[in-house]
Amino acid sequence: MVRVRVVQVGLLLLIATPIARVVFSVVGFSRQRDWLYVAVTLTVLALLLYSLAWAGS
Amino acid sequence: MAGQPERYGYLGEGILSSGDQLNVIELTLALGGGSFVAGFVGALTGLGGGVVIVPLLVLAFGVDIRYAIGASLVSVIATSSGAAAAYVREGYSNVRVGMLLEVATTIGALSGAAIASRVPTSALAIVFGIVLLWSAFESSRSDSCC
Repeated sequence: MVRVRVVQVGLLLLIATPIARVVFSVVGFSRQRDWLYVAVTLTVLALLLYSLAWAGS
Repeated sequence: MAGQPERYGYLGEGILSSGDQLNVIELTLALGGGSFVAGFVGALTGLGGGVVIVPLLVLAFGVDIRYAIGASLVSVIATSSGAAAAYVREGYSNVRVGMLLEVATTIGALSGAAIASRVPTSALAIVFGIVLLWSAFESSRSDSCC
């Protein structure tokens, strides 16, 4: 079932896009030395990673 | 494959898929056209494509509403990313406010997804219908447009 695996890799890339956007927001806020929003963005990132790894299992 | 009646995994009885009259190309064109409209309306109004895609998949193609919601959520990733890039570039988006809201929306999305896998699909359909009616009512009421 190579076709199913290709679709799943595509889905994973699609889901990784907004997560990467949040990661880049952390970098951007830390460059501006806005530590409050670094913390806020890291909270969002932690929630996203939690949902990706553990939710539904 | 040409003209061969074929059952697609998730498709049930719907307006378009009730017979075997759709081949692969017609199905792809119908889904592509509907999804184009969904992305267009979603980016225009900020509702996201789900408002169009879920009724399209459920009513026209007979997909189980849970699969339809999942498909629309995945499709909305690309839609909202592309639209958000344009909005940020134009300076309409405040990234700080958005990120603050995202803390709450992520928690809400996680709990909603956890509940959605436990309630019957009929309850999901009723909730979806109520939300659609409410958004239609809201948009018809607001006359403070440009």
